Amino acid sequence: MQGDLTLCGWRVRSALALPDLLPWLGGDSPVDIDISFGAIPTPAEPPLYTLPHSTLWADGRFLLHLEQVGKFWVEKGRRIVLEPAEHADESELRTFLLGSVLGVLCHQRGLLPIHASAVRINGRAILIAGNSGVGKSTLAAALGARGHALVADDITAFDTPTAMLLPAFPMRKLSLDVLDRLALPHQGLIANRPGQPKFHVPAADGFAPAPLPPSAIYILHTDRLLKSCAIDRAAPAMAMALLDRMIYRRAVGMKIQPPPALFLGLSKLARIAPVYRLRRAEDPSLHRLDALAEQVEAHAAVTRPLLAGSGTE
Amino acid sequence: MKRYFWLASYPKSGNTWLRLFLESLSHEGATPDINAMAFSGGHAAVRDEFERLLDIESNDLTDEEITRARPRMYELEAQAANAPLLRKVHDAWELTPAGEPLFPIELTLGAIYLVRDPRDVAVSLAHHMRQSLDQAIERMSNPQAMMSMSKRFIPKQLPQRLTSWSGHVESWLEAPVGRLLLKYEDMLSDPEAHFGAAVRFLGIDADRDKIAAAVEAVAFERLRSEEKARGFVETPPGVEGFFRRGIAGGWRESLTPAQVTRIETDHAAVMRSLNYL
Repeated sequence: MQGDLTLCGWRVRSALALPDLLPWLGGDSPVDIDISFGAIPTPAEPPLYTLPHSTLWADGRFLLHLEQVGKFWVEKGRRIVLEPAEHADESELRTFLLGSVLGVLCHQRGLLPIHASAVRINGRAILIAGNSGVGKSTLAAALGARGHALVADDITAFDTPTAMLLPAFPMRKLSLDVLDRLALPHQGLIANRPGQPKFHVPAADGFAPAPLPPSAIYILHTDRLLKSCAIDRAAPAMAMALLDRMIYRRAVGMKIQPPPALFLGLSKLARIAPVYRLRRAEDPSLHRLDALAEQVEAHAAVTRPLLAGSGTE
Repeated sequence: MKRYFWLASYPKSGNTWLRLFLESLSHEGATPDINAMAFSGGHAAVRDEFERLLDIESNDLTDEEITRARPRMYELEAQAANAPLLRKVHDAWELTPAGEPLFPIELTLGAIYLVRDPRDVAVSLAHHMRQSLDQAIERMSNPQAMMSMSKRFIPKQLPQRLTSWSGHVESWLEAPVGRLLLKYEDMLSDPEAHFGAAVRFLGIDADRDKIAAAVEAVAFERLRSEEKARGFVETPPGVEGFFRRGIAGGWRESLTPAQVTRIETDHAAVMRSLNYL
């Protein structure tokens, strides 16, 4: 069995191989998250909330079920039980474990998970938030190619009490066209799901392993009417509305955490880091990717956090 | 809990024209903002909506898993709705791999199916997809044809099964749902009658003057100049114009005799049944 691993700064002991996670170097502290294979618990009482793939019971006990992949039980923010489907391969288990399950884990642990990639620029982290397919990981990778370390890809956890963003794990999900555009090799990469054009790309050499204060939040949109890209500050009320839509696993999260706790996190985040709408032209050929990264880099270099972000109210 | 009207068509068959007409009608016949359709802008295969409603990452799902989950998405959306839902559809009417209708029958108020001469569709589709006419004709004959599929990146819309042009028409005309069939050519030659039929089918309360005003507001030349002046969000990148000619029979100037024969052979039965042959 592999040694203990690091995820969002937690000590993880996993029966499932997780080659994308860094080893645990934090000394003798107790294990935070235990991942095992086994039979999924079956609560006697009815669930509180049911979605096609998700079931939630009292105390935030959560089950993710995908017929072709398996069942993922997540409990108390510390215990995960996996029951793989017959023909599932390990990489598919990892896709959901480091995706939806991580999101639920954050909610159970009282963190605010944002649907965003985070990149370190000048000692702070910018968030690139947005809906799936809008280009968060792509922009983060283009910034990576310009020397800016990855903090988190796709899911970024904000710790409200300390007002810090937690480094997730050194892996990006990138599609073939982006790998080619950034001249990254795709030999030996594992697909997100078998046959999908999206791959798990190790990023260990460009990863920021320590928590960072947020400096700016960019909500990424594509806009077919634009010729290049535009960055506009969102007024406070709009900033909250935009950010609210970016809560990762929002529907389930609102049932696990008291909604006021989530909104407190959002408002604290938005009070520290200005929220910008980052609208870019559709760019299927990725010809404008470098220019976009350059523009965001230049913007992030001069943007100032609104508060010091030391955790004080 | 509310139910759906599906505005269904093969691509490039007048669906957006009808939606803009309905948008205008919802504003008493005013010129619609083509880039901000509020009343009739909904689409049945929006990735963001799928993720929001099912609280799952669509990128982590296979195409088959997405298709299986789509009826659940409509159930969740219908439960939360407080007015009938209007959705543009390009999928064929089919069963999912789980054996249930992709568009749940019990959630369906009705379907408007728009159809257009496949020879004109081929010309318009080639332009829209930036493909050759032969590629468009090939696509229209392919029973496995899909929309929003890419081997290189993840598109904004969920993958949609088009099937062939004939298969698409048959799927909707045989679907066990209440239906209004609208022909593009009829909408051109007598817009007030045929847009009016759509209005009645949808149960919208509008008198003849209002319908006439909305027809006028979405006259082809007006849409084209709107697009020219302001751009249109639904025009794919690199494509010259979404609203291109808006006529019937333009294929006579664009297709070779061999291309015409190919389409008429591929789709003979359905073309005959719709009086296109």
